[in-house]
Amino acid sequence: MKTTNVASEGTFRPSMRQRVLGRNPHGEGVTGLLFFAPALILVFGFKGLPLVRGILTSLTVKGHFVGLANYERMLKDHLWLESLGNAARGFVVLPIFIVVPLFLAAVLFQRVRGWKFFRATFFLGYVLPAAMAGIMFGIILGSNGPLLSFLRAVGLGGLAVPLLARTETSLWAVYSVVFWAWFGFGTLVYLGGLAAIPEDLYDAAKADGAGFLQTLMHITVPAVLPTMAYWTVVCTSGFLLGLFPFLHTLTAGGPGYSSLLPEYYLYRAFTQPVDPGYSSALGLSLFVFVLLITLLEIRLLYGRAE
Amino acid sequence: MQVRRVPLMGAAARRKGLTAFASLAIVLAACGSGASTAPSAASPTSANVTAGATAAATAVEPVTLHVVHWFESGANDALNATFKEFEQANPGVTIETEQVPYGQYFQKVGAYLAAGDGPDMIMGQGGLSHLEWKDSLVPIDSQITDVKSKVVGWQTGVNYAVPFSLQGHLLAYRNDVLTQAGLDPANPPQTWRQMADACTKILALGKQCIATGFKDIPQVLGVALAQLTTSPKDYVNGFKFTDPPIADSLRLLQDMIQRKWLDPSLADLDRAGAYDKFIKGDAAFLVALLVSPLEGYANLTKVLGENNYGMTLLPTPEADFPIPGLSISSESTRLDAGVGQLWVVPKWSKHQQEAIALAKFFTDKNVQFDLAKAGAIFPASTEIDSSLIPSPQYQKLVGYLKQVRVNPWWELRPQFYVHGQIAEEQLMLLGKEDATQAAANIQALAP
Repeated sequence: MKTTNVASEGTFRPSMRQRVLGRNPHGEGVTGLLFFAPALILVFGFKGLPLVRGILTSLTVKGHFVGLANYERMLKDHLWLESLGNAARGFVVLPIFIVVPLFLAAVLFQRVRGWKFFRATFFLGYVLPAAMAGIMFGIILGSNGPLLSFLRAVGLGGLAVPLLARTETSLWAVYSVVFWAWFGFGTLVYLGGLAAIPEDLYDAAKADGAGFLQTLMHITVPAVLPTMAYWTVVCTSGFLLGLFPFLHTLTAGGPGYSSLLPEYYLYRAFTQPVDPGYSSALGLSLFVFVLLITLLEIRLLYGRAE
Repeated sequence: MQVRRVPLMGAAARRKGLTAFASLAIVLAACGSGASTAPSAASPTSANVTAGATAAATAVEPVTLHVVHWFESGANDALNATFKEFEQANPGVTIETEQVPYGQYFQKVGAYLAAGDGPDMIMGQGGLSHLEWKDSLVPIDSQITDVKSKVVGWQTGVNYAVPFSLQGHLLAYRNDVLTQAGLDPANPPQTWRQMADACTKILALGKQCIATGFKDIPQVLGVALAQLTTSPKDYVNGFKFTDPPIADSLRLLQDMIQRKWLDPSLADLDRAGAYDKFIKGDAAFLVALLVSPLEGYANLTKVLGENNYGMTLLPTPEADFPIPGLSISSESTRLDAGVGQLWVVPKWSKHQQEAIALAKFFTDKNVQFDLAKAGAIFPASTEIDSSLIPSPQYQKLVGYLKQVRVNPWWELRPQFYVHGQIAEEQLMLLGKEDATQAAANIQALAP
């Protein structure tokens, strides 16, 4: 067995073999790699290879190599830019997605009366398939749906606004339904984070006369910052990549283009007409965009949490 | 004292492990690339069976044909019965079907086209929407000489499809709502002026005049109105939405909106919702089709009863009403009768001859009659006696068809316009745009 190279006394320079296999000269790195390999192969096979293929397809039009033409087209595509604008506007409601579940989790953590029931019902929205939630709310919020019909029947016709049929409100209606579907999961995530906070901190705060809000702001929030960071990343990527079922069932990107978001535009670009090159370019751009935002959030939020 | 660490594996075992790992990686990577769902550029295979090649319908080896279509409920049952008949007549051939709802159908077919692989026979729509697939389709002119006289709707150029059903837009109306409004259901409005008068009375009842969905893909009304001002030749040589006859169809839509024949609440309504509105009696008219699981005569008869509704052609605009100087093609028509459904065979199919034989089977007059009687199609056949189908509504539609020329095209919009037209028409409905802006915006979507 090769010994390590020692350039000078006290300095350890691992050999190439050791750099590859780990510094353990007995090759436990190989064993670790073998355990890790199946997952790596699956990721490579089902994520990596399609990604590479997508990159190659994005450089083609009808099977012919065209270089960056699809990306140039993307930069001039006003509908793509409009969808990005809608997505940027949607981020205005991101703080609600982050803060409200925390507040609800903090309340549930107090073991208020019926807390188990509330915990279960909060999670119901997340358990329901997204498309089903979209269909359900599409009916409820529809111009002739039960909610507006009820409001008109009781003389509150002024409040019977067809949220999904107006360009000013359709996007916010979609995000409202998404919030209903997701907030329960966020509450559960925060409950997990809250459970890790030492009880004596709360006891000490109580002994000092701190109220609910003071406890929340000075103990709970700082302690759950890592959880908050995680949930923020989940919501951000969900906003950009996880709203398709809601969009397709509620508004189909309309009325007009008022609720058109990038992932929905990507779907339309692929299918009508069939244009895999351009849609691959859109998809890759979206992937890079989401990756950059996620990395930035992790750097900022996790760094602050630490 | 130095502790001697015992290796987990000997050197020989490590070499064997690495070899096994490398092999596994290669195998799984190959499986992974096969399982990849990333779209690839469409690369139709070269025709693997030429016109004179083998594989007759009665195959020596068992053949399974995979067919994709959008027919649902009763039409699906009738279609499956037809496939069974073909199987019985052609031992050794088995047909597997894939039903995809119409709303997702063209996306699904698009995925097959992008992958260059998929079913052996595909249902398509007459017009540009199937001609856009032609690079992936088998031209069939040399194989249809025996059936060309049996059905109408063949292309004058190269044929890639076997037509078997017609389609067209009409207006269904409720007799009770018209009667309530003081109108005669036996004489529904025929001109734009008469329609304006009728809708005024209907709106006074608190009902909607016309129900149609503005959310769906494809949105029906824009296509329906296009027939009143354009002719197929306006589309065939390439058209622009800003061209006068086509732009004027949007101006007709704008007029309907301004006269409140269409309510802004339709903006979030899909076709099923519009149908519900009509069935409940909240709307007097419904934009209908010759063949449709919802708006077709067969379903409306079943749900409303033969004598409780009627179907009429779209109202005719005049040169000075509603829009002075309206551009109307000399070949425009109140019924855009064209090929609605057809079968195409893709080049990737390994059983092209069997698939073409199956497509041609649908031109048989008995098959056409059975499917028409079930309400699944409006027959393209030249041979059947339509009077044998016991439905007065059906006979009325046959009468309408006799007044017009049947085109090989029906869906004349290239696919890249579809989403844009839906979005722009929604904006028109909400008063955010006029027809001129909408036409320009739709045209801007052209590649």
